[in-house]
Amino acid sequence: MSIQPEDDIVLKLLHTADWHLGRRFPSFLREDSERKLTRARVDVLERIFGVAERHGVHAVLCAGDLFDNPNPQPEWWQPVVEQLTRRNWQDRPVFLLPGNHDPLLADSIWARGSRFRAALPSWVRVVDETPFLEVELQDNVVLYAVPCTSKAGQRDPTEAIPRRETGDDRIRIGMVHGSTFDMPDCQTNFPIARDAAVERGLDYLAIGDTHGFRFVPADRREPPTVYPGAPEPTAFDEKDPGKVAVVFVNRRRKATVQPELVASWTWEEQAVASMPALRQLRARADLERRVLRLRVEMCVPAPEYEEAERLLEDLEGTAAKHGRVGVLQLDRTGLTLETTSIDIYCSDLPDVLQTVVRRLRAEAEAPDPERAEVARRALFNLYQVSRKAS
Amino acid sequence: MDPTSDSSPASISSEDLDDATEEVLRGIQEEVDAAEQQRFERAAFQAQRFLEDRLLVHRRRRSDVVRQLDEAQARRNAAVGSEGRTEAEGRVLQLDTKLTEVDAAIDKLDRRENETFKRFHEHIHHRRYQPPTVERLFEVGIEIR
Repeated sequence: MSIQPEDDIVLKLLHTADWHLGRRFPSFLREDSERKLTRARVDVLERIFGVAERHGVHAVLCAGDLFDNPNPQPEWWQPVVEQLTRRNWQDRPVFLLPGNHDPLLADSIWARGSRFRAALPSWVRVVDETPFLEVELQDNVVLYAVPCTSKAGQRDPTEAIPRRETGDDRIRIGMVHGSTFDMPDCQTNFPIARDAAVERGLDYLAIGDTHGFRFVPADRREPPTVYPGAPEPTAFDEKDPGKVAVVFVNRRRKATVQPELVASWTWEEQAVASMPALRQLRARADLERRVLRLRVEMCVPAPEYEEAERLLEDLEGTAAKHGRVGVLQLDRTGLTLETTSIDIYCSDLPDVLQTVVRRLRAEAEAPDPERAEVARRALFNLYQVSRKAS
Repeated sequence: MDPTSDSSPASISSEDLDDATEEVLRGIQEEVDAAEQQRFERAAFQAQRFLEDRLLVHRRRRSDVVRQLDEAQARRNAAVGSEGRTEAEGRVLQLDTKLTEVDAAIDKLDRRENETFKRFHEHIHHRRYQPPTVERLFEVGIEIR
């Protein structure tokens, strides 16, 4: 991959996909966490269009699944309209392609006459032509785009794009939405042939669906077929999300692709099984822009249990202070109090409470996990009382 | 063969030269971009934190007001004399107004309606995403003999 000197470039494109506006994150229980993540999905639009401006691209291609469903609420489409309207891109068309999550249906947001369509600036074009849209982006540059018209389909959308004819030396760009996983005997939704760009004579094939940035196939750069991925990650298992693709095409019709990071959040999973690991995590300086799923699995004596609680509170935050982690999904069910040595720490308690400690210790070993957990919490409270008293 | 004994002129195709230039340009561009992106991320975080700090303060204030309001309502409900009841009623009204004000402030911050934030946000986005300008400082001619 290399970027040509500016005067050799005849076409610059910004390719993005899979915004999934409207997606909720119910697994994040804290209201402010959910709000941060849903808001990030809207905020990233400003960055995407900012990249388009910085590179002075000739067109912006949005390759499907821009909305999480075909009929999103105004709170999701209005920011798109606002972000586009504040730019006066008369000479930079933006193409919005319906994907499988938000297909082109008669009553969908893409329907002619919808409030969303009516509010869009004139230079924004919804791909609502079937079987495909053919439009000249500039002299000798043509775009073919194929919308999804249903949520599922077995036909390769690139088959609708006409093959390059002999003598046609225009730059040909394709845009479709679908899946390139071509495992034998495995049915995929809108399957795209891995060599579709070669077969159809396209110089660049812009695709959407997969949430991580990747070339298809991974080792082919000419002509490139690219998934830019979701501009903001949507799940922990996504590989290399958070990018858009800036595409440079030179006079020889060679397209090169530059991924650009636009996401503001990085999603990460961590399992912590020891106090040193937890201390190390607490000391990290890069947590504030992380969405962290943290699983704590350790059994520790009372003083360390107390420290673990303090460290977790630092990571998560309270009503009075920000957490060190931007968004934390914490599973602390595996954090347990080691009770066998608890009486060492409770030796200052009066006799009657020491009797309680012994009974609770026995209870903490009980087979019923719920009762055992209650007993352990009670023991820990007694430990704290003992510490305060001393 | 000893390469130094080759007397044929070095041949570099223009495409090879272009490729070499591209590689150098790409390296420089990536370095600049990475540093710029980092600075932008930091600034964007600070802008957001500016709002969140204010939200935190207002939410704490709200908790206080709600607690005071609960107490005032309990006092009003327990008041026996009309004078005491009127006084308690006044306090409830006062706290109710305060709660409405705090809620409005929280709502405004939630919608990011804060001039300082807006100015800073626009400034950092402008700095990050404005197209680069090209200024020709001098021209160099190289003659290979």
